[in-house]
Amino acid sequence: MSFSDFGITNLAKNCNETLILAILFEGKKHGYQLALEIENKSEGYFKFNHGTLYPILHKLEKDGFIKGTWKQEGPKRKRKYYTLTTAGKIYGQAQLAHWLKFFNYFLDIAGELKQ
Amino acid sequence: MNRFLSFLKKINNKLDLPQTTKSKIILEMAADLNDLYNYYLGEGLSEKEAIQKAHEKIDVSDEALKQLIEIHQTGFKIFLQSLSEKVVNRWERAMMALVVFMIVVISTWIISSSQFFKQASPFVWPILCFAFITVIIALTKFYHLYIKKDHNMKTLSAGMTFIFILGGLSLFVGMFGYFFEIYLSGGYTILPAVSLFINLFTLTSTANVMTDITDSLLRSSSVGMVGLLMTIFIGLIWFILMNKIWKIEQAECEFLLAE
Repeated sequence: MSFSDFGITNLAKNCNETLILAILFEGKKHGYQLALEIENKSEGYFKFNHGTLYPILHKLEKDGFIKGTWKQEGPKRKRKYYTLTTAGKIYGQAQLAHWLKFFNYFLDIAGELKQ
Repeated sequence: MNRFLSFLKKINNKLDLPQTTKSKIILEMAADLNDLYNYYLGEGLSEKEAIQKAHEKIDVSDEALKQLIEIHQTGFKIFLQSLSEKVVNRWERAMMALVVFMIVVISTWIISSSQFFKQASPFVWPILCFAFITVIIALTKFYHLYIKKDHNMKTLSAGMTFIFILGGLSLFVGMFGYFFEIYLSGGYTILPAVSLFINLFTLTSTANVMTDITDSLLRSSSVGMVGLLMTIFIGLIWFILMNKIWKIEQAECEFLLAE
């Protein structure tokens, strides 16, 4: 992914993707757990609406970055758990590198406001 | 989960996707809704408030639904869905039954004639082999789906992709064999146009050439015909079994949502 792909218009999407991939790095999680952990870890700074979560999860799954598996939990209950794939780990690390670059440049420029 | 039924039904109606895909999305949402509901109950909210909060939290906007549709809607899936949903009324079912009946009668009639085996192209055998494998798999699936009814959602669709591939292979081998036989006959008789012209108008060899052309046309038409018939046959088996699987998946989803 070039920096142009990681442009301003994709920031929100990339941010959500990176957060999800980072949480999944710890192990398999389902949608509710993902949203909850992101909220808890950011002390409520990142508020995840589930409505926005599903398209991201399904897109990542379709692209092969995460894998969804259904698990039976009780006689009438099924849950979809997501795990990070090898491609997902590589993609997540690439995303992180882009974010670091982004913040470096951003702070370089926006840091001027400090003075 | 019936406390969320109307909410989930609304989403179900908005999603313009195959029912199996919709069911999976709805099931995922239903599980999350239930967890949110329990979480808010644990926070001390009343049942009504917990439902309300869970609805708010999981609020799926039209934009999110649009994205979900875009993610899941592939051309192939649209094609598959249209196949299954089109056979709905009794006239369509009667037509389908007639097609099946005609395929069985024509196939049996052609294949059972000893003349066919003498004249058939060697490409016919792999096609018959594909059809035989399909019948074996289909009988096993039929036993599990209709008689034993041990519906394990994980293995429900097992073997269906293989049947689909076998259908594709039958068509491919059939068409390849058809053109290959034509090419072969062309190599011997038609391609060297001058020699064909000479042969056709030379009394001594005209009869042999004509026999060669007839044989090659019989061989190519036999492989083409068997290829197409077996592809339709395998396709119909796949279609019937897939319809049953879709029905089971849908029933499973309704059962879970009606909890």
